[in-house]
Amino acid sequence: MGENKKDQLQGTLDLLVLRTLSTGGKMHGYAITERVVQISRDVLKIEAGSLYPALHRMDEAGWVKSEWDVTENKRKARFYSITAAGRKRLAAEEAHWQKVAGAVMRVLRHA
Amino acid sequence: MSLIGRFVNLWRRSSLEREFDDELQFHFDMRVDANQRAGIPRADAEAEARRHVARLRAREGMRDARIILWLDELARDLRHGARRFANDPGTTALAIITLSLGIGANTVIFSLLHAALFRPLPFPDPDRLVSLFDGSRIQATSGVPPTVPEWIDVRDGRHRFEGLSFYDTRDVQLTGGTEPARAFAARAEASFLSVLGARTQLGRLFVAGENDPGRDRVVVLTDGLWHRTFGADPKVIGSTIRLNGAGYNVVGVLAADFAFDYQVPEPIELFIPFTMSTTYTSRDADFTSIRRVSAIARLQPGVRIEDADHDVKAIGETIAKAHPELYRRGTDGQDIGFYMGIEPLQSALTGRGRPVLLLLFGAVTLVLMVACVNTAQFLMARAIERRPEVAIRMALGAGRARLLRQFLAEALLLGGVSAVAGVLQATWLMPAMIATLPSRMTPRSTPQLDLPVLAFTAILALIAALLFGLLPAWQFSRATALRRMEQYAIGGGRSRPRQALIAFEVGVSIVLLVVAGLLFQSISELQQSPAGYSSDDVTLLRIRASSTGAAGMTTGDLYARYLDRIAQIPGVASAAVADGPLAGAGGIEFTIPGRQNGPQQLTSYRIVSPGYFSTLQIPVLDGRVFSAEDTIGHTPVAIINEELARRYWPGESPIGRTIRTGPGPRLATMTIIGVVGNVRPVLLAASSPQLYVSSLQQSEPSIVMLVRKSPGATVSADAIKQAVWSVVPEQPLFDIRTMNDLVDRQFAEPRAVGRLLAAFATLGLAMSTMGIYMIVTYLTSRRSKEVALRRAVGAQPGDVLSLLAGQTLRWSIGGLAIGIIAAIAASRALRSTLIGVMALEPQTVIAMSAFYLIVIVVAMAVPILRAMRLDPAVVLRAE
Repeated sequence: MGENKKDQLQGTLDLLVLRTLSTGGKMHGYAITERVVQISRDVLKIEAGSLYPALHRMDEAGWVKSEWDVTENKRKARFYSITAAGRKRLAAEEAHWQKVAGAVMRVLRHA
Repeated sequence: MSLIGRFVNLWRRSSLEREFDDELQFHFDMRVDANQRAGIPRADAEAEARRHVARLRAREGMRDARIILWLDELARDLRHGARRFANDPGTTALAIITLSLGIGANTVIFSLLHAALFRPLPFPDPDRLVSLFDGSRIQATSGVPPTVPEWIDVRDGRHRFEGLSFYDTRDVQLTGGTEPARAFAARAEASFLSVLGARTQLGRLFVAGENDPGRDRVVVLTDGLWHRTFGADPKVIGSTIRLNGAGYNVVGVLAADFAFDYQVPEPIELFIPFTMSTTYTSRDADFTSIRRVSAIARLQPGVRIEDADHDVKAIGETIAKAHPELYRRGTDGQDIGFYMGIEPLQSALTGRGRPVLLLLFGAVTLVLMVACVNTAQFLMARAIERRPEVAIRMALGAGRARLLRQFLAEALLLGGVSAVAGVLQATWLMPAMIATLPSRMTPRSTPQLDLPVLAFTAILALIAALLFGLLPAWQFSRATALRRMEQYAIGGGRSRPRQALIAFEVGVSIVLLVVAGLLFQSISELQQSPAGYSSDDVTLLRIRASSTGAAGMTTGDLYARYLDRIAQIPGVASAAVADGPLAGAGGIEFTIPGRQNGPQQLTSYRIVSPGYFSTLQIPVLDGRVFSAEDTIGHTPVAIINEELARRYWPGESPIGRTIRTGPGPRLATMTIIGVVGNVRPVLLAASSPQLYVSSLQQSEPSIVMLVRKSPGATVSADAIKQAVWSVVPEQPLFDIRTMNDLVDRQFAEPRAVGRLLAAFATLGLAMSTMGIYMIVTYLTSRRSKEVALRRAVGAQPGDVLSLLAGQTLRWSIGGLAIGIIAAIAASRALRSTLIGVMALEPQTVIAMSAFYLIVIVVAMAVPILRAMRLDPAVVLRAE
């Protein structure tokens, strides 16, 4: 993972989504985008055009699972939740991210 | 899961797409709501949400995640290809027919091969079953069944077998029922059935000791015989049936699924214990080296076959050392290199039909190759028609991989449909094909289109599709630019790859034609070569000396009595007995005392009664034939054939000279009393040394009786039977038939193989002719304007012909020449694998090539002549 730019960006998106699901429980796609925007204080904006392909990809990979359900205001939506495999993946992505972020910080500070 | 899931999703695309839409719609609605809640006017709120959702991009990404795209596109290519094929049903049908014939023929032959050679034997742990054999390093023989004393030595030696046993087979006459019936029996050593792992449904198998002489006679029936002859009556256990006149106690009925029908003349119907009398078990007895038995063994679990083979080889060495008089050459004391060994029972039992099946398999593979090439031709022709379309697509930026995939999709489609059609043909052809083949070549276990065979067909179709699909694709991918495509289209003469394919088809087809021709040439040569005897008016029957009723008489005396009675039947001209009907056992050695040239091999050693030569009308050239006085106790005498006399006594009479046979059981020194004409051996034309000895001096319990009737007279089989039975009632008689029938039957195998090869050759011929026709038609239509122009300015028909056909003809002749060289090599190889195949005669090659050439010329002439009938003015005006 993280071999090229595209993978790296995808890895970051996966990380954000998995992390959000790991604390938020069962969520639909819209709620995920809102939560990320809210927690990142409007810095990170996830577009639906990127989010949904990522969710479906992770669903196929078995990191998340999805089901159709109704929202509080009785609307039909697809809900996602993290799986055990997803948590493992999240741990790996988080570790990787910490390592990269730490490295970047060190470069910024000392180079 | 993921890959399969994505694969499955391919089939539920529409519902997936609906889900994508619903999900995105929900997101959009939520966004619009949120925007409105933030006080944005409805129109702006929706516009922002639309931008944010980026529906198109999202949907594409989701599709990407859920569906295997290339497969989806492949499916589209397949549909596209199917539509194109449907637009041209005639040619497509032709291509499918050719290809499916190739695949079908392959499937049939492979299923025969599979059933005969590869399918495991239907016994428990078949991998542990092996066969024991004798071999000689000097005589380069192997796979000879061992003698009983050798088997006993192995059994009592150091080995790692769980069990060892053996059997041999014979006809028996089953009496005591409604009428005497013939049955085919195995005489088995007591443990035979248990070593194989057979089970009974009633009663028991043999027990140890039932082989010993003087024991009660017992019999185990197969399920088939039990149903057929005993009405599946369970009370048969304990009852007595009569075999060859003697009573046998039925002790068991084998399980219904048991069948032992490998490399035996017919399936075995009952088992009786092999009586271990000293006649068989002692090395001093008369028949010891001749009575060979099929020996089997079961390895102990976990023992490797190489190790067990090592044990048996060691025992073989001990045997050869212990009996130098039997296992070394008698005359010069040279070691014959005797050895013993084992091989898997599977290959021992199924090996004999192998060369013929492999030959047929090779032939059908060639047919399939021609079919593939033909299909490639077809696809290339279509590809050329599509040139404008492809050129446009390439100009529009379609990748080469994309085009390649499309060609492959079409090839796969064609291959798939043809494979299905081929399998259907195979199910229909198989029974007919098996009926044609002589029984020796067809496996008893019925060939069927089981999983391995279908897998084979599938792989075959796949390989075929790749072969014929990639050729046109490759040809195309070389033509990259539009300009190049145009150039291609105008020239018309640049058809070299297709011409090369024609040459290949012609070459392969001529190999098949020549080899098929060779077989028919061999048969006719054999039939026309002088037989040296006359089989007209001769009736044959087989007799085995009964264990009862011959008391006090040697077999020779007994047969003399039978012959006396038969001679009294009105219409019988003469009668004789012999140990076989035609030229006899080969491989027995002889020496001429006083000559230096060492032991030579006889191609025929026959034991005959005095009347043999007059009955078969074999001419006596010198001396006399056997008389009633040439009995045991008198001077041992022999009669030799013309060839043997010519080799050793050229220009002088061999009468009174001595000849010695052996070493081995036929060890004898005899005085030559006569010279007779050469008799054609079975499936061999060459004359070779043959020797006859008197049935009154050499004992032989199993014989053939030959009865010649006077021309025009009728002698019923019943009269012959009654004559025999007037001497010994219940004397078993088998296989009464005319000798002409037997003589003809020896050609059955080469004839059947020849017929099949001829069928394959015809297929190859038809396909290659079609290929030639197609390419010439194409070239003609491509250059129709050029031809019209030339004719308008005065070109002769001959010029036009050479312009259009010259190149194809040159390539075809090239292919023909290479094919003939290959055919000559193939016929050499064939001679060494198939008996009865003669040297390839030039006439055969010339006839086949001339025939083929005529067919080629006709295939080329038809489209050209058709084109020339058109008025040049009309063609040119069409411009």
